[in-house]
Amino acid sequence: MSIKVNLDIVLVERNMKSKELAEIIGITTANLSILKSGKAKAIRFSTLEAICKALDCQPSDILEYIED
Amino acid sequence: MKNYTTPILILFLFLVIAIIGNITISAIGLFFNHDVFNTGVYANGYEASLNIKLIFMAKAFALLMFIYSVYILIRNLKFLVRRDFFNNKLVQCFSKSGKLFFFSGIVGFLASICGILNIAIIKDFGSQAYLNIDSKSLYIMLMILGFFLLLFSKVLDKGNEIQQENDLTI
Repeated sequence: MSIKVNLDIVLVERNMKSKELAEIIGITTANLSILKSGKAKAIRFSTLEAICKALDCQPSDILEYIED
Repeated sequence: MKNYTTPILILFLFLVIAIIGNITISAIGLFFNHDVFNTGVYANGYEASLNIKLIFMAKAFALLMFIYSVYILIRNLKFLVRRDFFNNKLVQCFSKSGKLFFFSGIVGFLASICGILNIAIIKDFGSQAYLNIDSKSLYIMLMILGFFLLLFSKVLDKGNEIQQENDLTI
């Protein structure tokens, strides 16, 4: 997919674990893992908003467009 | 739905017995030139031509294919019982049995037409008893049912895709 999810990089920068983020934003670790691995087909604005709020970042920090 | 499984299986068993029994009795009459079970339907000593034998075999093949496609549908009833509609196996089952229904409908219908033409052109009225192992409208119904099942499998496939997308939306 041409949209890359850089969530793991931002998590490392913020020194936060996936489990903590999942608890803060209220999704399961399994779903967060799907999002991190790039298997997710779509992301809700509410989820994106919660992630940005929890990690204090912009959507562009998490999502990156890569041309095929 | 669970309560319907046993009656459906019993009906399927009756269907198999009726079709295979009919084919067997007719085949014995046709290939051994003798009314083995004294049904009174088949003439003793009637020598069927190769055309009639081929048409009979095509019809028998179509009917056996029909039984097999019904068997595939019944075998996958468990998914419908569990209300697990968006399942790849169910989609494949509907697609496969739809194709088989459609194909058996076409084969049987063409064989029926050939049978009618054979009687009309060669005036071989003795063959009528052997070629009456089915109903002409059955094959048209099979083609319609096959087409419907194929269409239904496409709809289920699309539904399956949408369901997966929904599950993978975080």
